[in-house]
Amino acid sequence: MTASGAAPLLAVEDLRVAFGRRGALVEAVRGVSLTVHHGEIVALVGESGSGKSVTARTLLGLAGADARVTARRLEFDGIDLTRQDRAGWRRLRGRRIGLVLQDALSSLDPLRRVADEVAEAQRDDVSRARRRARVLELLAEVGLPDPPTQARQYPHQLSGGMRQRALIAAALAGAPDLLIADEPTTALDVIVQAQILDLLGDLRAAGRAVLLISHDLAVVSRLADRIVVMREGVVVESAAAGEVLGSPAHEYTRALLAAVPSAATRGRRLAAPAAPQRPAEVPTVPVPVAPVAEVPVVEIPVADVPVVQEPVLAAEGLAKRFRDPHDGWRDAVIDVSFELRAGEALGLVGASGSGKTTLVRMLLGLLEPDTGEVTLDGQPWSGVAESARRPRRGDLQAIFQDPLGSFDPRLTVGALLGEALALAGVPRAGRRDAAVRRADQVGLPAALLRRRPAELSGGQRQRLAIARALIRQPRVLVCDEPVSSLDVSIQAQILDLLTDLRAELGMTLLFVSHDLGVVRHLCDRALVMHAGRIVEAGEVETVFTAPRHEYTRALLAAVPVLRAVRPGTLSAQLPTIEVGR
Amino acid sequence: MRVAWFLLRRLAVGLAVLWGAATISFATLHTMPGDPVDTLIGPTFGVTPQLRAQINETYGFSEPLVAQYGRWLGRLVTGHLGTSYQQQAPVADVLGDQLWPTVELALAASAVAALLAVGAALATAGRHGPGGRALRGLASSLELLAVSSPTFWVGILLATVFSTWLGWLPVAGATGPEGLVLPAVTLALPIAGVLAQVLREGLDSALEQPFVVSVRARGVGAATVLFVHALRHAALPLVTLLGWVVGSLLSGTVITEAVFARPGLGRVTLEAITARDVPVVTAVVLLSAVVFVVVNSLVDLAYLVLDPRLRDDRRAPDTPGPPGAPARSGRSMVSGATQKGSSA
Amino acid sequence: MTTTASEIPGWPGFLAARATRSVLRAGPGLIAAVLLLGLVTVAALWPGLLARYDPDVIDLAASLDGPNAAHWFGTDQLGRDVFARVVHGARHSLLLGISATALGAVGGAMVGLAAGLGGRLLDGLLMRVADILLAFPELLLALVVISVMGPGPVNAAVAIGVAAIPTYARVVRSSALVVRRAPYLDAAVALGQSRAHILFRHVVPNTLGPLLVLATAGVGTATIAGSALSFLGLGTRPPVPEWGAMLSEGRNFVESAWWIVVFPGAAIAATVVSVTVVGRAARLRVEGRPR
Repeated sequence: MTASGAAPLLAVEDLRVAFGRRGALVEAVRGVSLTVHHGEIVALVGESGSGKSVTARTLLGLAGADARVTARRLEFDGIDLTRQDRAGWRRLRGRRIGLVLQDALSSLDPLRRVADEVAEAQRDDVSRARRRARVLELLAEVGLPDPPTQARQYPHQLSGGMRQRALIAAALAGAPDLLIADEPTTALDVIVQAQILDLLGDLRAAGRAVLLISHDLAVVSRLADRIVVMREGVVVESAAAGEVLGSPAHEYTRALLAAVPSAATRGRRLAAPAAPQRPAEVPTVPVPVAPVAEVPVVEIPVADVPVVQEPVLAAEGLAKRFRDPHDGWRDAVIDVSFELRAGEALGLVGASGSGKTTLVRMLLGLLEPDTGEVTLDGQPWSGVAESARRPRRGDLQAIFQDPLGSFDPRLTVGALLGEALALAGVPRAGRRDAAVRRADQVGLPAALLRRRPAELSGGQRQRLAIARALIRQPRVLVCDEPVSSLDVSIQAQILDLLTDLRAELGMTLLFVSHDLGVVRHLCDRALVMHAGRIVEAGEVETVFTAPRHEYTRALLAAVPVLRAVRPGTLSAQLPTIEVGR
Repeated sequence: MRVAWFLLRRLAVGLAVLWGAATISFATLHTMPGDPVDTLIGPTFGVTPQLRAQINETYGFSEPLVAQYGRWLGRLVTGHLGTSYQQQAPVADVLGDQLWPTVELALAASAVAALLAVGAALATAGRHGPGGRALRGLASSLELLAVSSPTFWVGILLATVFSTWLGWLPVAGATGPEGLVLPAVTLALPIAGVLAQVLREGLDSALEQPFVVSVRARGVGAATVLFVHALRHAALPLVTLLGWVVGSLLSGTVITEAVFARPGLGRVTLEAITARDVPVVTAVVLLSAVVFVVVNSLVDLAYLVLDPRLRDDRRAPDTPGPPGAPARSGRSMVSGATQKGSSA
Repeated sequence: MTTTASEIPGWPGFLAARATRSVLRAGPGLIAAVLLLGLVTVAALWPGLLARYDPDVIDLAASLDGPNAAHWFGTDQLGRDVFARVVHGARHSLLLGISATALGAVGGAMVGLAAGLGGRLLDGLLMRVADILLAFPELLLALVVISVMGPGPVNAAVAIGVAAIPTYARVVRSSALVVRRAPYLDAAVALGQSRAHILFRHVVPNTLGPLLVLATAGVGTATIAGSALSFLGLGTRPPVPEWGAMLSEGRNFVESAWWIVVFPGAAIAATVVSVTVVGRAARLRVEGRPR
């Protein structure tokens, strides 16, 4: 695609970045090499801790005061970046190399108007009027609908997609040759994400070079010319996009690709088969082998989960509205009815703000519906006193999106499990052993029982949440976005764990997610929620291959899908509907 | 329209606080043990029953408490604060004479405190190099010392060193601008210590926010980042402290005026409390409440000026509120309350 | 490094090693603060261990002697040993600060919990009263309380404690409101925990955490306030060797005998600095650093 013979715009060879003081140096980047040419989009892909963001910031001299940067070669357009003083960096930043960060709400100064932010990177030698005109031009260029209005507004008055566009406009204001975009779409809904990615594609068409940093191979696959895969500070693979996606050379890239859930992954494990049973993220602590055999775990041997057409949990005409401090009332959930059948895995899909969480809270008996009714096993579940629900709570357990928030921060892992074991009627003397066994069941080593949840990794926290929920031996497990804050490979492990446990225990699952791939991988049936209503329901394959509602169609069209060959502009094919707001 | 509504609500809340303060102080001071006549005359004289009756008549002590309260409140509304037991003069006059020396002292101290705090914070914020680290350590040690040293001790030491030993400044009791220096510095030091800490913390946390990386990536220099971006963010917690500052100034004057033998409200308050001069104590309490109401209205207005997020009723639905901002309800009135209690 | 006995859990040395590690992590400032507080505590409990002289014995022949080998901090206008008086004063000053803080924190905890966990009406009522009381600087509030109850060390402690109640109550209430909405309470309900379990095992302990931290630092503030009242003649009165009272007694002699004023004041400052440093360390430990 690009002339690889020409001199690259950016050339990095053996870049190393270390943090800390003498004696306690930690290398975050350990020998990274990459090149970016004019008119090319290079993607830097890796999971958290891979060093991809540190690499990006180092290219702008923003790695931090205590960072030690060394490189065999670090050149931008013939300029040696290792020899820049403060003034030198200031000349480069904004005007030669621009940066776009994720989450524009915190990446734009919340106290200043959009126009001021965009004007900041412009050259000082132009007149005020010229500068203002240029701001409006830039805002129009990034596709903001009404530049004069948005220029006057503050970041919090814009929607997420508009903020991200404004941030890109601010980065383009100095007309940089290279734009570094660090996770530019991570906080956005899929449909908005597709639009922002198209915008980056337009920049390439205009001859700019883009270094796109992402944790998501699927996002990158729509756009990148070349892909650089990083892991723990090292580049493991670097090749043309089609090659990396089509025939990955490195085992880690293969594992990463295999870990992305989709229709094709149904019924098979996501985590690499080579990976040990215990997750790699668990620190290597000598684990005493617990005497597991003493008390038999209650087992329900089910080879194939039978889908019995009998509702366990049912919602009938549920509605909930909240008082909005300024707008009177806001309908969060409107007339929702559905049944969760024994043994099935039901997916609930929707963008943020679609009412999923409110619905889940009503189903869990944490929030009373305004109208409508929830029944569990045909008995009323909503509209009754908590004391009437409490004896039946064991049947219906939940894990939440933010596992850390769902644990009392004062308690240790052992105490948290102990509380649930006490509820399940395990006598005090047996709780310690039982906690070890329960932790083991979800792949948590016993050494972690003495830690507090804040000291666990994201994956470990979600394992703990699952272990705690399972202690009460629920027949229904409600999972509210359980993997959305996790890295792909950790997500794969948690999804595998849920699949295994479901097969082993015969649980019924209600799985809430914004990620269509995850639902398609795991669920039998799916509900699509939009603006408080369920707009589509049916067998997963039917919903995903023959959607009837226009929102579902728009959603499906916008989902980034791993593919080796890049298709044309995606959002152009979308029906024009405003989503989410 | 919005401003008018804001001011109107502020006024109503302010009046309610004043009424509450008046009522609580009346209730407290009129249920004091002992006969108010004894308090009025002093313990040394034998009082004839006639005189006692006459005093009771004049002050209405024999009436039921509710009637006294009603009469007192009625007079208060028409601007009559009563007559000082001790000085036999209208309370308004007693306080009015002493108002200016205290205001003068408070203003001078505020200026000194602001200067010291802003200087110390700007010089040390965001500096993580080896030299910067040493400077930060020194500054925060001095601040801690300033906050932890009792005002009266510092006052005595300063007076001894600069007036008695060095003779640079007039001794206690002097008037005029030179006489203001030592009391103002004494009063300002603990306040400056707290303000400098809060301002530096504010600057540091502003400099750590993600948007600063964006700003720097645009090629903006360090000074611009500090003055144009970070300072405004750091001003928000500082504004919250304004109520606390005024409170500290009020209580600080009681001690500073005693140490430096200056006239002023603090001394009047102390004397009134020692002599149980109920009308004067009540008036001081009310005055302090008025100051509080005014200052907190200013604080809330300053928030609206500084933070556009609070100006907006209509925000994008997925936008969280600004971190650390006061809840938008009548309660923001006491936004400074939780920061209170750092020095006396 | 080879394995030594001290690395084996259960070995007494193991605990010592752990303690040593946490001391090394603490840094010199915190260590000094803890040592100083220990010294002040010893002075408050067993002043005889530190001071040889009786703080109240008058020796006019030796009045206003500067610091020397016999009298480390010199003698005052009545010839009393200033060092002995500073050591014995620790009890009076600290007792004032600690009892006032305890009163304020306990009162504040009760009011704050009632407001934060009780109904809307109770919350509104309590917080409006607190709003009004917060309109006054704490020292003024304490002065009003003293004007009602009269001067004296006990009354001074009560005055300072009562004056601090609204502040503590607000902190507890806002912490209770945060805890009340915490997602782990939803999780506990969903798990099937009883109301009493949730209240006493999750809500109350998590609510009172911030109070403990605030109260630690509050002892410093209250100690200063207490000595200020004594200095103004409204708290502990001379000849009792309270630090503030010593300052008020000795200030007239400061021109000729600086040591009478410098040492009691330095004792207050050093105590308050140490309390603040330890309080900050406690706050960091409780709140933790953001990851």
